[in-house]
Parts: sequence; C-alpha cells; structure tokens
Amino acid sequence: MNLLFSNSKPIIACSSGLESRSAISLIRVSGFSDLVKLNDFFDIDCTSLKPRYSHLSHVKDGEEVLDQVILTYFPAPNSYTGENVIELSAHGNPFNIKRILSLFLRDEFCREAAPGEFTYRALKNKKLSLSQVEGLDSLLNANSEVVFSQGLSLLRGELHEQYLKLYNLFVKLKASIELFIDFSEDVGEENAQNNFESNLELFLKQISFLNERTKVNLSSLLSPTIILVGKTNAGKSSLFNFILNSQRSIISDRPGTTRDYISEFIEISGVNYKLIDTAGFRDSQDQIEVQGMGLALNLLDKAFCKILVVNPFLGPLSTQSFKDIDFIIFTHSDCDGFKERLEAFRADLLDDLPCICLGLEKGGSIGPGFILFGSGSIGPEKINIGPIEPAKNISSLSISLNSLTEYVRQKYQALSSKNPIVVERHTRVIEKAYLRTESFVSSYKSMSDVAVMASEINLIGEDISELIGVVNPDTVLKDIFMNFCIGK
Amino acid sequence: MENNMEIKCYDLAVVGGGHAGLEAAWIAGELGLNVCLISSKNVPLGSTPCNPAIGGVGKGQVVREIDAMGGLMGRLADLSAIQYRTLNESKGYAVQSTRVQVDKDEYSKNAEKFINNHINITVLRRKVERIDKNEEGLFRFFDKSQEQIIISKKLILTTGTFLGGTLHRGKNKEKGGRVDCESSRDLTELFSKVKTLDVKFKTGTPPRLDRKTIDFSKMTPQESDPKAKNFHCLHKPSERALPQVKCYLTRTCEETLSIIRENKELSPLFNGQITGVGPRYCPSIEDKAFKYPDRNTHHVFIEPEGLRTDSVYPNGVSTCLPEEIQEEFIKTISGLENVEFLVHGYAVEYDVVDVTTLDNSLQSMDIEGLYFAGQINGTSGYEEAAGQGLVAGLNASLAILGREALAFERTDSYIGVMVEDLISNKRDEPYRLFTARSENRLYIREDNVINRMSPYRKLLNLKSEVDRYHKDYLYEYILLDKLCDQFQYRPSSSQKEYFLKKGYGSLLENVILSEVLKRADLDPIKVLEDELLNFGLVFKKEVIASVAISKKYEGYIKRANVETEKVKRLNGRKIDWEKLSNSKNISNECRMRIKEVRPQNFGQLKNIEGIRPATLAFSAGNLI
Repeated sequence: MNLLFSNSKPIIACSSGLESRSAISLIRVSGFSDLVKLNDFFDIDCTSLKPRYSHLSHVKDGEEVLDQVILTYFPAPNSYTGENVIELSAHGNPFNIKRILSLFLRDEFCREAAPGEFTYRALKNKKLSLSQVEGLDSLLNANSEVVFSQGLSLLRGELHEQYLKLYNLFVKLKASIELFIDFSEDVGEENAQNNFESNLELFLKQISFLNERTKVNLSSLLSPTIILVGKTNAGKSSLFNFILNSQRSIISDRPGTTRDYISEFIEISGVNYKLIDTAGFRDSQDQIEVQGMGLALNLLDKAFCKILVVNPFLGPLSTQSFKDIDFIIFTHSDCDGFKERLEAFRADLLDDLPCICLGLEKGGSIGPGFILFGSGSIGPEKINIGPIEPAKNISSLSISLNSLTEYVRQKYQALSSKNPIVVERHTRVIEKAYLRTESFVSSYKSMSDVAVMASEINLIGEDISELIGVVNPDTVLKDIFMNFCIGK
Repeated sequence: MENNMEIKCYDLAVVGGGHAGLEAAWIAGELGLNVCLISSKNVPLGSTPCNPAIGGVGKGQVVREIDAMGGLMGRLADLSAIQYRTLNESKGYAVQSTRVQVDKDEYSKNAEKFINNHINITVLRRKVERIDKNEEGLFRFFDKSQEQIIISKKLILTTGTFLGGTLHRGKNKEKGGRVDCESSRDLTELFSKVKTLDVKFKTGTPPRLDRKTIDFSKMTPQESDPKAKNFHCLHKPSERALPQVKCYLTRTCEETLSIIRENKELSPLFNGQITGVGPRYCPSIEDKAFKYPDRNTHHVFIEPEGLRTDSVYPNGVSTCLPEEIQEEFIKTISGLENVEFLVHGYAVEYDVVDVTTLDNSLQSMDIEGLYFAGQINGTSGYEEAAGQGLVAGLNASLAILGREALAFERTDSYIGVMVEDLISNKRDEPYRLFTARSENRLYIREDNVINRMSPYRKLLNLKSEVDRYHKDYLYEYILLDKLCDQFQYRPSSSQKEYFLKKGYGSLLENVILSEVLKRADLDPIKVLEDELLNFGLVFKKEVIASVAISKKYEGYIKRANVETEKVKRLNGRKIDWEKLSNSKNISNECRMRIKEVRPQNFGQLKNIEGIRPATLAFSAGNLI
C-alpha cells in the first residue's frame, strides 16, 4: 500500500464515478498546499474561499468557460483526507467531467487518484482506523443490503466478535500444543494429547465457518437476478409479462439500459431483482440465435434464482443442460392430456425441486391478462402428479405464483443471513488460514515431531495475525496456567 | 579490617553466591578481572534451596548455553548429578532437554572448589550493610559498624530472595530470604535509588522428609537414564561422576486435598497474610486444592537431596500451611503414612527490581555500573539465574575492559529470549523460561549449542580447552555437513536393494545423503551413524547428532525463518510511542499500555499484552 501511493502530489477524482449519467457529478481535489494555485482554474479569487461554504464559480480553461460549478473548500486537517480539499459539483455529463478532469491534469497541478487513494490518505493522516476504512468502504460501495450490513457489522463488531472467537480458539490451540511440550510431565501425556485434538477440532470448525462466509456467491447477492430459461415456445415470455404485471418494481423504468436480453426489475419483499427472459434453447444453425443462447447460459451461471419453464408438450427435457435449477414452472396445464405428459417427465425431473403448473382457461397464446388458471403449488418435496384442480380465477393463480416469490424471498434471506465476509483482505487471509489448517488436520497424525507440529501451528497463527493480531507467548502460557494444574 | 590498612579495590564486586553470582564472578575471573564475591557466612555457595534438580525443558538448553560460554553450571551439575533424564524424548529432537537430580552438598562443595581455586576470585564472607557510589563512580561497601570493607568499579547484585524477604509458615512470619538465614534488608542506601516493583513476588517450597521413614514399595520408581548426556562439553557424554539413584512417583488423594480445603483460613496464601504474586506454573498444594477444585489427585515426585543425606524433596506439595496441618496432609499420601519431617514447608515473599529499568546487559539505566541478575529480577529457577549472572558478569567485565557489550540474540539462544523478555515488559508474576517463549524453537536446541554459542564465545578472545573443543567441533561439523550435501546415492539395483533393506524408502533418481536424513519416519541420527560406519568415517558423536538433526529440520527452519525475517524487519521499524499514545485512532486501553511500556519499535509494541490488532494495523501505517 505504501509503495503504491508514495507520491504525495495533489490528487483528483470524480467521486461520483464516470460511468453513470447523473445531473450532478462531484469532483474532488486533495493535497494542494496553496489556494493561490487554484486561481488559474476559476473565475473567483480562491484565496478568499470561506471554508465549508458553497461558492458559485466558473471553471475556465484560459478564457474559455468549461462549466458552472459549486465550489466548496475544506481546509486541512478538518477534511476527509486530512489535507486541503476542494469539491466541485459540476454538471454530470461524462464528457463535461472528463474535460474538467483533463484541465486539472494537464498542467500537472495534480494527478489522477488511484482507486482508494483518498481513503488511504485519510488513513495515513489518522482520520480513520484501518477497520473503519474497511467498514466505510463497504458502506459506500453498498449497492445491496448485504454489503451495507457488512459495513455496519464491521463498525458494530459482529465480525469483530467472530474474530475474537477465532483468537480465543487459536490461543487454546497454541496452548494445547505448548502444554504437550513444556508440561506433559505435569498433566500427563494422554491428557495433553486429547486436549490438543479437541482444541484443533474447535479451531478448524471456526475457521471453516468463517471460510464458508467468504464463499457465498456475492455477485448473486449484490445484484440478484431471476432468470427464466427453457425451450423456445415453452411460454417464457408470457410468464415474464405476467410476473411483471404483478411484481413490477418502480425502478424498472430506467432509461438508457442496454438490453441484449429482455429484463425488468421486480420487487419481492423489499429486494429488487432483475427478471430476465432469455432466448429459448433449441438446436439452431442461426449465428445470432446461438449467440443469444450463449449469453443466456452465461447469465444463468451468475443468476441468483433459475427458473426452468417447461412446456410438457414440447418433447423431452434435458435438465442436464441447466445446472442448479431452483424452480420449475410447467405451462399449458389447461391443455388436454397435460397430466399424462407430465407423467412422462417424471423420470427426467430432478428430485426435490419446487414446481408449479400454470395454464390458461382457454387454449392459445398466453398473454398478459389472459392467464387465469393455475394449479396449487406443488410442494418442494416432490412433484405431485395427482389430479390438478384447475383454478378458476386470478386470485388462485396469484396464490400459485406466491410459492415462487416465497421461494425467492427465503433463498435471499438464507444467503444474506450467512453474513458473508466481503472485505477482500479478510477473505484472502481466512482462505489461506483455512487451507493451511485443513492440510495440517489431515497430516498431523503422521508427524512424530511435536516441535514441527507446533511450528505448523505458528504458521497458521502468522496467517491469521492480520485478523486477530499477534498471539504472544504470555497469553498462551496464561491460558495454560488458568486451565491446567501445572507444577509437579 | 583495620582502619590504617589500605582498602582493597576490585574491578568487580558480586554480592550473592547463588547461581547468578557464581556465573558472574566466574566469567569475570576468566576474563582476567579482579573479582570479589561477597556472600553470607552461613550460606554455602551455589546452594539449591528448593528442588534438587538442574535442567528441564528449555532450561537444559540454558545450562548448555552457559557451558558453551565457559560458564560453571554445566560442570557443577555433571559432577554432582545422581540421576539423569532426557525429557520429551518421544516428541522430537527440538524439544528434548536434559535434567539431572543433584546431590545438594556435592553441588555446593564443587562450587566452592571452583571459585576458591580461581586465582582472580576472592570470596568475602561478610555481611554488607550499606553500599554507595562515590564521586569517582566507585562502589563502596560498608559493614554494620559503618566500616568500609572494599571498593569496586562495577557491582552485580544477585541477592535472590534476600531483598526484603519475609518467610511465612502458618501464622508465623519472620524476616529472612530462606529458612535459617537472615535476610539482607539493609542495602537500602543503594536501593533507595533502585526502582522495585510495587508488588512483592512469592515463592514456596515443600517440606523435607526423612528417607528412612518412607515406604517406597508403594511408589513407582524412576531410574536414571544412562543414555542422557552430560552438560559440560569436555565431560564424556555418558560418564557419571557419582552413583545414580532412583526417584519415586506417588500421588495425593482426595483426603489430602480435603484436609487442605478444610483449613483454608489457616493458609497464609488464602487468608490474606501473603499478598505477593506467586508463579502460576509452580503452584503450592494449596493453590492446587483451591484453584482446581475438580482435580482430586496430583503427582508427587519423591526426589533424594543427596547420597549422604536422608533428606528427600517431595516435589509437588509446596506449602506454607501451619506445621501440624502439613504433617496431617502429607501422611495421607501413599507411602508417606509414617513419614517424619526434617524441615517444614514455607513460603517467602521478596522484593523484585523493576527490570524495565535495566538494559540488555542487565545494567541499571539509572545507576551506571550496577547490574542485577537472578531471582532479584523476578525470575524463578537456578538456570534462569545462572544465565543472567553470565550476561551481567560478561558485560560488566567487557565494560571494565573497555570492550564492546555482548548481547545474545533471541533468535539463537534461550538466554537471549529471557533477557529480552525480561527487560521489555513489566512482569506480573515470576518469570520462567518455557520453550513456548521462543519463536525459533526448532533451532534453539541442545544438540547444536556449540554452533549457536561459539560465535559469542569467540568474541571473548579466550584460549581455553573449551575454545579448542569448539574449534574441533566446528571443523568436523562443517566437513560432515558438506559430506551430507554432496554424497549421492545413484539408483543402481544394488543401491535400491540397500535402501530397501535399510528402510530408507525408494531410490528413483540420484539422492543426496541430506535428503535421506530428511525423510519422514527415519531417525536421522541412526541413519547418519550407519552410513558413516558404512563409509568407514569417524566423527564425534555429538557432531553426527547435530548435523543429522539440523538436516532434518532444515526445511522447517527455513520456512519459519522466511516468516520470522518478515516479522523481524517490521519489528525493527521505529515507532513514535508518544504520538501513538495520543492518537485518537487508538483505543484508550491500548494508549495507556503504550504510555506505560514506551515501546521504541514495532516489535516491542506488538509484544505488549492486550494490544489490539487495529492498533497494530494503525501503527504499521504510521511507521517513522
């Protein structure tokens, strides 16, 4: 980190990002020594800027006015970075922003900030502690509730608690191996050995638990998607429209969204999901269609929830081509012979998948407003192919859709309640320590040399010292004396 | 001494003739200095007032380190040993340590012989009442009648538990550092300037029992190990100076503990009479009874105190209960039903110097030329005391000679570990060495003590038999080390068959001897011995062992060293403790600790107890 940001020149960045189009963008410059130097860029006298007041000014390149901006000056040390900072609120056109940035960069007044450099300077200038930086980072970048709560949990200490637990278990583990070396005469060999094994098991459990928490598929939680897949003509698009009608999210009317596939936002229990209707799957020579299918497969990999849409009248399923399907919806349940067709699929279906059957009151194309017919949900246990009572009205259809939304809600809650660890540094450390612990657990029984075992454990300790700090020998010895009657 | 007689001026005065004092005086004498060892009249030199044993896990390494530096302890232990053991024998070479039971009288007799025969050492059996430092910076020693006894340039104080000592046995309290000995309270003139800890430390000892009244048939005997190696490098490894005896193992029972538990209010340790902090690693039987209520039996080792005495030491039942209760509970122990007491157990509280005021040569930072070593520094154990005596003695001598100070690194000796641990942290209980305290345990072993210590010994510029031994040893070591790295086994069918026969494993390509020594499940010493025999080469047994073990651990040590190096580099980085202790980014608690310890570098900061990871992360981002 130190090497990366060694240059102490003023830095500039557009803090609101260049990618998104917004009315106002914020540009920040940090680390300049003298306000006089800013006079080149503005048409007001910068030396008279009142700290923490907004000033209207023009940004000018020589005589040419680039933009009208609101200018705020935060003098050191009471700024975010602890250095002199100015903030410009400029008009949010990316082109405009780029032009302003390059003006400041051109005369080498400042340089472009590396990612995280503002925060780094804040850390360096003692404005924030490292763990706060990490927490703040999560808060700022939170585009979902999960990350947001992770940020909070770092500040609040849920993770700290877990790390504290890890620390205590590591002290115990280390104590138990030291007990074996320095005090087995006092407590007896067998006692020392058993103690070591049980402590190793507990430590492994905790590091595995933390490791699990780093393994949660974050991308699927950060911007969760629900994807409809199935053969062409399975009824995906009709279903898509129907779901939209009942669950459409307010944020779905986003202008300027590129659509390589049809997608809209829906809201289920306060979480926004992107509902995606993919190109159908069939054997095709058409290049465009093949590409479309490839895209669908790619989306499928990252999806939070995968719904397989099946028209049982369309020939056999190949569930193998869709991995990890969450939910199956059978369409055309209104058609004659549906039950018999469904029976034929029994063998192909994966166990334990929840499904529902949907159909129309009258045959034909399924369109919004026409769906009037659904079956009751078919429990998650196994598809129930008993007599399917046709639902006679909209509300009963909604009920059957409810089982889908309920499934989505539960899955989201289950995943996010695992409190995934999103801070990269922690993830890395935990993974490393976990792998080392696991390999130690599988190999220590063949080690005859306790000193070597202790040295392996010390390496694990060095791995996790980034999370829990250094375990010093006095702590270990204290633990021994507290829990064992030492002294022959 | 008459007034008109010239008062003798010594280079170095050592007050106290215990294990620290002996080593300090001895090494100074070896370095050619004029030494005066001042000791009480009725206390023998090098006495072992607690358990009659030298060495142990970690401690055995210290004894060998002292020996390799030319110290006394290893020789004295060998000459008076009546039982040998190798501890941790089944747990790998790195943690194996030697321990011997010694004949106490013999140990002191040998100590007196060595010291008295040393041409540069004068032993003065006087009680010093007062010491001061005159304008020329010389230490002046006075007796009770305020008469000046001697003068010295440097002073090492090794007064053990005698500084402000109080003995406790039941309700009885008396001044003293040891049973039947006066305490030496009155070094106050000097000590008024020396910072002692606010709390006293406490230690204790069990009763001594009459061997003739013990029924050994009820106990498990433990024989002396004929393979265990002597400490002194010039002694033949398995030669024994004295006949060897057995120790015995017995145990306390529920009745023992219930007697103690019923008499809680009579125990000075639990009724408030003793406030000093005792070592938790060496609890009294009272501690065991009250602090571990679930345990209803404890080991008791019956250790003879010598060949010609009937006194035995019941290890594990240190106590300061009233005499009649001691007798009552001891008699519940199997085999001790009819035992007779020679001395009753007692506890002693004593003053301890604030060791954070000492530098790494154990010299006071407040009073130049004054050194402290041994139990007065808050350590426990004869070996720890001797190790410090060596450090203080060496450095006082080098200072007098105008030579550079010598500091043992914690990466290559337990003495180094101990000294650094001592001076860098305020201790809240007596300090004892454990191998857990070393980051480099795989390297700080008994077998390679010459490799580790000879660079230090060389700095002393002495030419003795020890130095010749070091030279021969190292010559052979380097030769054998090279041989192991260069000798190759080719995968011929006859070699393959040989490997199979010897159980060395597979031979698929060229393999050097060093690699064979590293193979799992092989005893490297046995392999190397066999191969050398095969080659018809003769090396010292201790060289073979050390090379073989070093090869075995090479990979592990290297890997640990990569980490240690990283840590070491960071540890050496300077920090500004004043700034940190005022920083808003550090928790209040951590700031207080930083203020108290005043760490100079990152390593010291890290070792402060209770420092939080966030503080370290923050400090790491703010190195000077």
